[in-house]
Amino acid sequence: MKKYYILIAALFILAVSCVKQPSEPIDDNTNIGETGAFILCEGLFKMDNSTLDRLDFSSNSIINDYYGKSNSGLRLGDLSSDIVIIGNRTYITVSSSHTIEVMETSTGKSLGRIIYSQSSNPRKICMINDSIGYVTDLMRNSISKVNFKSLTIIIDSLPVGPAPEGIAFYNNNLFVANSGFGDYMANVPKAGSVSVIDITTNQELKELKNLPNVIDVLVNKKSGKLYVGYLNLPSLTDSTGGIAEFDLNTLDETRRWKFRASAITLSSTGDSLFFFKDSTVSMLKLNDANPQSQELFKNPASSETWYSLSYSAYNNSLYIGNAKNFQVNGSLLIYPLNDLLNPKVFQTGINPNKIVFF
Amino acid sequence: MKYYFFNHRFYFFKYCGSVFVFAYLIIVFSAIVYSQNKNEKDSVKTKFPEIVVTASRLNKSPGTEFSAYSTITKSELTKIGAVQISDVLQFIPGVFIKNYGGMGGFKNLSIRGTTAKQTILMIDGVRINSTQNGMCDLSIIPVDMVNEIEIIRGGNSVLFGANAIGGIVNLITRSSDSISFFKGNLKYGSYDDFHSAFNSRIISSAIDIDGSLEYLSSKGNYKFKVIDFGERKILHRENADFENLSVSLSFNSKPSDLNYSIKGIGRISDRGTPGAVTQNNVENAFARLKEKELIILGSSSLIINDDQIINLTSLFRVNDYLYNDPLLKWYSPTGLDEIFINRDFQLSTKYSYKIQKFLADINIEGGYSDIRGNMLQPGVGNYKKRNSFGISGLLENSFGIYNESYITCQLGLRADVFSDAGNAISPLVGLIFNAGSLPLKFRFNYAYNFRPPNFNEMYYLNYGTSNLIPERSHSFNLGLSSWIISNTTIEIETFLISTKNQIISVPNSPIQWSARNYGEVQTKGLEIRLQSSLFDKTFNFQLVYTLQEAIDKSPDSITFGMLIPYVPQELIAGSFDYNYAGFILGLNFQYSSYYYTIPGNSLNNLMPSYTILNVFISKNFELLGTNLELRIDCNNIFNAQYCVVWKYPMPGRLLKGGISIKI
Repeated sequence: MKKYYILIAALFILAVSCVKQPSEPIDDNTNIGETGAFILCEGLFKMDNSTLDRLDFSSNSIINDYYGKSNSGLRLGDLSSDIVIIGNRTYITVSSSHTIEVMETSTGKSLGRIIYSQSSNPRKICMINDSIGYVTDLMRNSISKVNFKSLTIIIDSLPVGPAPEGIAFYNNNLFVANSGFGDYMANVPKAGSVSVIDITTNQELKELKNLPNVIDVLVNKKSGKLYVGYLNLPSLTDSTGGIAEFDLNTLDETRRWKFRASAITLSSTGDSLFFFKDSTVSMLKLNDANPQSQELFKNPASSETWYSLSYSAYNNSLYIGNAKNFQVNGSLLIYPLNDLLNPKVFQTGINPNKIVFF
Repeated sequence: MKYYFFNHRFYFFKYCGSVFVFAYLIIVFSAIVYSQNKNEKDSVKTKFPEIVVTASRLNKSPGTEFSAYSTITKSELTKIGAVQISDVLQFIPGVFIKNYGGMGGFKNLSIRGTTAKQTILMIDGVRINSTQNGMCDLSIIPVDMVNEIEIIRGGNSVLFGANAIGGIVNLITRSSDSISFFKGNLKYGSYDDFHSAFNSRIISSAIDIDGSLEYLSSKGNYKFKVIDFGERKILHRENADFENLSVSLSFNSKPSDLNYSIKGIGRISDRGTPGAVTQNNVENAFARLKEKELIILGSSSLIINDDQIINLTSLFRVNDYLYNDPLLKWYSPTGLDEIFINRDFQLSTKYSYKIQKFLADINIEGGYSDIRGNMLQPGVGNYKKRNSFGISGLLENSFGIYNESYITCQLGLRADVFSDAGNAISPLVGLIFNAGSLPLKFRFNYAYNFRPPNFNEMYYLNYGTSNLIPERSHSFNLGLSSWIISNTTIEIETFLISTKNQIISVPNSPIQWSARNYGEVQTKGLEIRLQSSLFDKTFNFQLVYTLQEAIDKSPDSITFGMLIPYVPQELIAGSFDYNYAGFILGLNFQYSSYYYTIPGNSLNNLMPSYTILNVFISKNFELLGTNLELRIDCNNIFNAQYCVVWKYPMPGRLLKGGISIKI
């Protein structure tokens, strides 16, 4: 009789172990992609010309329009905004086409897509595990909850502030940047704030305020800090944006640096914050008692706009998406941190706005 | 905040009252001048046959013969079966219509590779370009009130003022009919395209009255093909319906020493404005535009004596603009509600002195414009105004050379001041060589021209830049006209337009742009127009050819040396008609070579070439003293699927029938 109990117990364990426990995805800033990088090229609004480029570290070469070449007759669509890699699946939000495109990372083959309603504008993705994620919706002033494995939308619209952009997750809390889209909705409630939302109740816990035109939110798990990049309002030409630091546990603001910073990204160790400042790449050494912005290197072409920034731990380099004048093919610049004078340059599609490693 | 001009009775009467007072003052002023000179003049009135209010064709106005010049007559307008002005302008060399599709789609004019803002649209010699956006949408100008169209290609700010960089289109409304008539037109076709127009002219012993009422409507639900997610689909254009009602009424004095004319044009339109059709998306799918516009033109002329004349013209224009897009949530949680009222007042006076072959003109202009709206920069508030003042002088003289050949020279200078948009000094030099007994005429002109920034470019929310300065442009034209073969005219023009400080939209991000004085553009080209009427006008044809190149010459620009978007390098158009026993069988076509749609000349956004062929047949006959015309048109007969503007599909084959009655 005992052996039957053991057999039943073994079968029970076997059965329950079929449903794997979701695991937390590796943070973007610590993802040591050793194979290559995807460069997402946003294209131009209404031009339907988003593309995805693929850089291979081994061959040191780039394949332009990798998605189009891997999927004959398919294109990404109009205005792609974000790309996230989870294992062999890559998810791309295509905002004006109202879709999240799903692609096999290793081959570039399309695996399908999540199609939103025509009024939506999926913008940025934040995965909370390898299947569930949240997506900001710029036009509907909301976020959606998505099962990325089954390609289904679990919750279509959870209201947040106006024009939500960046989104991050830490300890059951979502942090959503309510930009207000600059001046357009600057006076709408919650504009220029970060909504802290408890994902178990879907309720807002707190509003982190005084962040006009906030775009980026970045969680630094190593230090337990949240970094928020805001640009200020375009009409306030004499004022700057800045970076604010919050304690992830108390949600209190701990430090703030006032200068126009964009595309904030963390080093793998979490002790350095890289960003564009004016026409430079600069950094803050976060462990310093009173960190000051340090210029690493300058954009040599003042008429060209650097648009995206990522740090690769694999080759300890900063990857820059150069949008040039936003209307021509851009370029990818790779600056090894130990040799800033010799960047590598590759041509990309129009407006490279996100670089991720796999 | 709401600015419904026409719904606000107080403002309506206030403004209308102002206009009538304004017109009255012009007449009184003219009468005073007239009475002061009455005793000094004689009865000769033929020395200035070219004045605006008395002449049926402005081409005799001083100056224009030095430029590339074309006309479209009423019979050509009728023959093309035009329901919108854009339908006929394509048959003029150097003209490209940026057509957003369907009857309700915006139709912006480009002449010689310049932008719509660099072109002037006039009614009876008075500019009607909006000071809000610098342009004029050709889809909303009532075509049936137009008797003739003049097109002057190339820049000429001395004669025409601001925005005269690419060219000038002048719509002449006064009927050339010398007897009273009533005319009605009805046309109906695919997509419920409907056009009805009623015109009349009443001639009395004291005054001529012209009136027109025109209604245009369309569902605009034409089919087009797309490829979404790799699948070929056929969709219908949605929210592209269009309605436009226009009324015009003018009072014209009989030709005498004191002539005057007052014309009022009122217009109401309501249309859907669907945008680009991208993958799984139609931009602005629910956007709508409602406009109300009132234009009042006044003009008078006084012949002082054999040698002197004074012209006065005035304009009052108000445009009430309401654009709504419920899906543009980035403007507000309820979408975008863009509300503007734009008003323009213009007053100009010109004194001309002509003796034998010498002509001298002095022209003084004053203008006031303002804009009220809810989409201006935060620092601007809800209101902005602009005052302008311009003064110009022009000299012309002719010199005989040998036999009957002669040279005519033209020199001009103009100065303009704008209260918020800088100043401009604009010279002009022109030369004509007439080969006397040979059927040849050569012309050359050079002009330095300008365009001040419009209100949108300076003050529109998150787009405008308040410190913009006027665009400046050099314009050269060298042309030849010949009529060597009888009943056949050939015109050849070469041109060069070089514009600096061009105001262009520079992206701050892929979706947010701002206006800057940045660009330098050089356009050069060749235009040929051949017109012929053979066998006693039984067979008529015209061929129009344009070869041009517009290049980005902005120093230090990434796109330096690249082609400017939306400027086809080659345009060909032609029309043929055969007349027999009251029947007219006609055929016309337009061809455009490829062009780029973004400055980087990306092959991914290359607009392919297209050819459109249209045919018609009409029959004219008389019934009980009434002239009747029955007509059937088939446009785009081969059902070509094409776009003029990237991702804005154009209609396929379009059938329509019409009847016209003239009593």
